[in-house]
Amino acid sequence: MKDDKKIAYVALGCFLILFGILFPVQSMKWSSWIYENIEISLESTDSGRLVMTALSYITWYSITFSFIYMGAMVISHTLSKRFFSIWNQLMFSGIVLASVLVYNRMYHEHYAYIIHFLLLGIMLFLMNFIPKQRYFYVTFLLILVFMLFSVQWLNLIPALSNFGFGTDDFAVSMKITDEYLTNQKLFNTFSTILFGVFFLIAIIITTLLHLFSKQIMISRQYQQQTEELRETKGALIETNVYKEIHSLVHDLKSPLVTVEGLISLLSLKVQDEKSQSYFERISTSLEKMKDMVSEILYEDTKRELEVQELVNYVRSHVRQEDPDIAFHMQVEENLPNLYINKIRFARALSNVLENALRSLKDEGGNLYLDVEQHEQSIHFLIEDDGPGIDAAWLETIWEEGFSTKNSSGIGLPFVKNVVHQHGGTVSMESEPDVYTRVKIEIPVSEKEDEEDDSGY
Amino acid sequence: MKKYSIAIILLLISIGTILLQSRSVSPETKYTWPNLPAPIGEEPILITSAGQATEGKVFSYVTKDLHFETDYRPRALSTDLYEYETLVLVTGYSPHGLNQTYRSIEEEKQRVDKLLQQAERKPIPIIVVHVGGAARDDQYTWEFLRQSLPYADYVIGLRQMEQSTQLQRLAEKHSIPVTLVEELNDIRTPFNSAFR
Ligand SMILES: Nc1ncnc2c1ncn2[C@@H]1O[C@H](COP(=O)(O)OP(=O)(O)OP(=O)(O)O)[C@@H](O)[C@H]1O
Ligand SMILES: [Mg+2]
Repeated sequence: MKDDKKIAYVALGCFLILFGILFPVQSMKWSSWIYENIEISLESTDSGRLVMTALSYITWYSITFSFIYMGAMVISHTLSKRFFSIWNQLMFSGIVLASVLVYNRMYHEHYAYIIHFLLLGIMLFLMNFIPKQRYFYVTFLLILVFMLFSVQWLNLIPALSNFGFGTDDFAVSMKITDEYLTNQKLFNTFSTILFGVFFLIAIIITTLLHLFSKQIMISRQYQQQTEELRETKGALIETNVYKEIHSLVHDLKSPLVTVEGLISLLSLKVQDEKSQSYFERISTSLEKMKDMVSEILYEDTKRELEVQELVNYVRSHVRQEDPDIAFHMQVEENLPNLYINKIRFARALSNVLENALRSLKDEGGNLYLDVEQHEQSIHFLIEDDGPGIDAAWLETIWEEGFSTKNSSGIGLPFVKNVVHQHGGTVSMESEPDVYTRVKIEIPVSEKEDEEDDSGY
Repeated sequence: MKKYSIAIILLLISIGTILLQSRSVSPETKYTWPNLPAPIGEEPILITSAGQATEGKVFSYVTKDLHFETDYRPRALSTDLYEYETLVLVTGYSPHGLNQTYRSIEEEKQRVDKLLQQAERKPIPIIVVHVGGAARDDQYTWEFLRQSLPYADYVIGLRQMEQSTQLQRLAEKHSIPVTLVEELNDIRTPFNSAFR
């Protein structure tokens, strides 16, 4: 994420928390209403009114805490690199507890912390089951509100007073009023029932969302598979076309040879100066044509190429549109030329880059491409800060067909093959969640050395 | 498993807190009295609040059917004392209750202080009642208790957790008789014994 975007999100989170903490100031009338109604239900021995007041009390606090929890979620989500990491969860809990502390201090309140320990624990547990995708905040809020409506009833169960629940002013007042009116019978049963009902609702919502998102994921996977199948079909056709062209190009060679022979025959026969120079030019053109044909036909055909040109070529072939991925490229100046098969080497580089891009797709992050010279070799370093690869898998990934992405898994074996063909080495190291680095080393163009030698 | 760890830690903390709180449920009641051996007060009685919590009103309702001559005036001033022969202070700090009076906690403390001083001067007996229970256990409520106990002649409270041990200790320090009752409605017996 970009820095100014981050700042904006953090500011939004702080604003939400502030709004939550200041909510009692903005709703003085409401809290007075609650206070008065506790007294009225006492005076008129009206336990029905006390129940209504209890509902109102829980709604009032739920608003404050919804804002605080949402704000904490926005901030911790923005500031931690990976969503739902341990650090993310710790920050979320820390911000919530600190806000409740500030709230208690500010209003001389004594709201029970145990409610928040419980609620945070439950919410973090449930979050494992809700999809962390597009509608995350909406679903989070929905479940949070029901959970707030559930656990806060614990504050109004007189039997739990001994265990540190319901220590805030309203809760104490209502519990003692209930003790006078019904000898605790009403709240002991009613609050327990409502706690259970709302808890159940929250759990049901989470389960439904979980199943729903699973369903969507399955159908999306199915769609993807269909698409892949179509692509494979296309590729197959492409291969056939390629084969056709290959044989066509191959077939071109025999007429070329015939033309070459005939021209040399002709040059022997026709002896005037002008025609001789024409024949020479025709021969050079034929030579060039033969070279081109063989570069297409044979894999180990190599030629000299500037590093910058190669990099530009690769860049133009790798599609990268995700705004959350930052691409950093650094090519050392005055690098010697490469002596490579451009088409195949470029394909190898794009494969590595595509893997890195793929790993950053979900969370965004940074992708670095550095090219530098170390003595007699040129290093291509491709690094990303995505999820990375577990040390246990670092060997296996080079095997043909290994893929964690449901893909063909021929990318890395191909890379290895091409790099070896160029007399180089390739290696991969990774520390999960920190970095993943692929290093390709190939020797500096030998051809250039020869030329240098002959030049001086 | 790693992704559940924070959730599990938080839930364990909750359980730990609950266990910690419940350990202190059964307090000792060595120095308490079931009720007063001889009455100390006379009617009419002024019931007022120290901290503006709902307990004051609840207490006045609970003791209604004893048919004493009582007035519940939560915001009574020291100048009101001349009509009464006994002062009953119900302690309990309520930020919302205090909000209704538009007074600060400092002003409330001053009001209580003046009442206590005036009762001493008169002199009439002072009874301190604390019926908020385990949940009304905040520092401000305790400030009111510490403020009024040195002047008290009798203390009535609920037999709940740590709190009552602390209350006993405080009363012992000022050598005041204490009665702790199981639940709110039991409070009538000791309160009755203070007058009849
Ligand atoms: N930069 C990277 N970050 C994380 N994992 C990677 C990275 N590069 C490769 N991998 C892992 O190595 C596996 C093998 O990669 P490889 O390129 O051979 O196959 P693929 O990308 O899955 O399929 P294909 O390239 O054929 O479409 C990947 O599935 C992935 O798990
Ligand atoms: Mg790949």
